[in-house]
Amino acid sequence: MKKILLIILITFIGSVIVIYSGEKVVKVTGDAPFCGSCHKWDGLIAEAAIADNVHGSANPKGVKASCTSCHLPHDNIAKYLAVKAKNGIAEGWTTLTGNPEEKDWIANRDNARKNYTYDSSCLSCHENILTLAKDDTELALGSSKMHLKYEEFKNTKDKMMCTSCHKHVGHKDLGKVLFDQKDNRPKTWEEWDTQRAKLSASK
Amino acid sequence: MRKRFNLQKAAIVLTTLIMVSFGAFIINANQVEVSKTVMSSKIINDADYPLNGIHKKLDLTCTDCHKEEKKEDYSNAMYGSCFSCHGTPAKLTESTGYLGHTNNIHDSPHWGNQIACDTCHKAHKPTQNLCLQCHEQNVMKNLFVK
Repeated sequence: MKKILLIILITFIGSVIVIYSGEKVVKVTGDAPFCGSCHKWDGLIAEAAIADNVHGSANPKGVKASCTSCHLPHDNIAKYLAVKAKNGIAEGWTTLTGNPEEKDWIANRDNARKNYTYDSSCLSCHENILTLAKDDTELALGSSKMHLKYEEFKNTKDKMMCTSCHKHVGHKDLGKVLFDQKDNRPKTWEEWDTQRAKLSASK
Repeated sequence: MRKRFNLQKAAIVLTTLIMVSFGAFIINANQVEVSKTVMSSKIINDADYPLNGIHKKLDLTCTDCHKEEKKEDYSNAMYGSCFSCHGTPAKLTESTGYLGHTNNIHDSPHWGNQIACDTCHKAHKPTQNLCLQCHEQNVMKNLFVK
């Protein structure tokens, strides 16, 4: 009897430790700086997310989404953890073997929207948006009409994602930031002078 | 006597001319009125104004874009209805920011105050790259208008 009680106690304490530390680990590995340790090579993308005044740190009301708030599915905990593990390994591998200079970051935004954003994550915060769309008082709004279309197309070949329409959500001025990253033309007269001086010196 | 007769004759001719001119004016005015009526009673057939792409997929109706009261008054003036879905001019500028400062079409000095959305983006007809009417840069030629 004493042995059984001891087993129950150890199992209980063990479970508490696993659940508590597991939750901490998932939380710590779901936002900067952990995500940034692999995503350092696309650092400007993370900076654009921080600069976003709706979902990022720049939100004047202080509400901020973490990286995994948007970039992991929120249907259920098993799927969340499975995709987190898969993406973690894939990103680690890409970071170790890939070359950020060769990647077409602008074109990659389509891939990121399609494969690395999840409707369930949007809806976990914006949970009442589809209910509101069905509300008679809200129906006059164009957005409600479109959200009802989202429901209609769900599970059909025409299905759409949240990011099919809300394409530029989450990262402020991402397109411009990615263009400017590779555009070395001078933006000011000072830069113009510096570049000319370098060119003259190299001749 | 002969002179007086001539004056009477001239007065008759002049009056006749005035009457004929007035009649012609009335008839002409009526014709204009008639043609106006014909115009305003023109039957607008929705099938003659098909939608393409995402507008078709989302099953937009005429009144989602056209804000005139009468169907026969629909024109290419959108009265800002594009922005009920497409955000704001600033948002559009951000969305095409990947084209770079020089070619960001929605950051153009013409955009927003001189030309309307439908100048390039047509809902019922093929769209056009209006930039090419004046600008000849190759990069402008590659701009894709949805």
